[in-house]
Amino acid sequence: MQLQTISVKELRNNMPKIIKALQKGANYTLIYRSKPVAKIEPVSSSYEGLKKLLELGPSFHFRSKKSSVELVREVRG
Amino acid sequence: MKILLDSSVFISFLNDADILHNKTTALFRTLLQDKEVIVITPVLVFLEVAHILHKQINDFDEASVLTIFEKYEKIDLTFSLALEIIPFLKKINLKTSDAIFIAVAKLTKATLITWDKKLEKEAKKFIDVQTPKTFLTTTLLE
Repeated sequence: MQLQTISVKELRNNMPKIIKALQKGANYTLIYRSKPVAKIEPVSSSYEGLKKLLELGPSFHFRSKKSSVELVREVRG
Repeated sequence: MKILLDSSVFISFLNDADILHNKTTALFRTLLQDKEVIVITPVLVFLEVAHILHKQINDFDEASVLTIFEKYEKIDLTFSLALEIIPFLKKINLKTSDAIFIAVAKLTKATLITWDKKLEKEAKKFIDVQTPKTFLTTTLLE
């Protein structure tokens, strides 16, 4: 997805459209008084997933003497 | 960069006694800092992980695990995707599920990350494939 520049006024006037574009992966450089001041980019969905995974409580963890590959092979066949 | 994490990676993280548990945890912690990486998850990965957790954990709550997998870029096994995968099946000398992972990685231009040496060896003929350890040291921390 291409990086686009956007002014504060454009951001204010087109917020719903810009949010939709961000959700589709667009990135923006925010221009204020003719100078770039910020980058606007979508929150990585992978980031959210990894964060949740790392925060999983002990009830989702287990201890098995079998290796991960062995456990996967058992269900994969 | 897109990566497809094999079920063995998720399971080694969830199995605290796994010899590879610490290396996988290090991978996930590093991935969390890298906003360029997109994790691709075929629905088969979720099913395999859920199946193993059902066997290993009493009163396993699949709804909670589903919320994690929902966040990744999911690849649903649809009829149209199956039609794209079929040509790969005859070329890949592995079982159907293994071949699906390789084909999905190929179709999505993702690097396959797996602890499974057998899968890694066959996948190398078709796609970029690495273990979490090599991916961490040669790609993420280079």
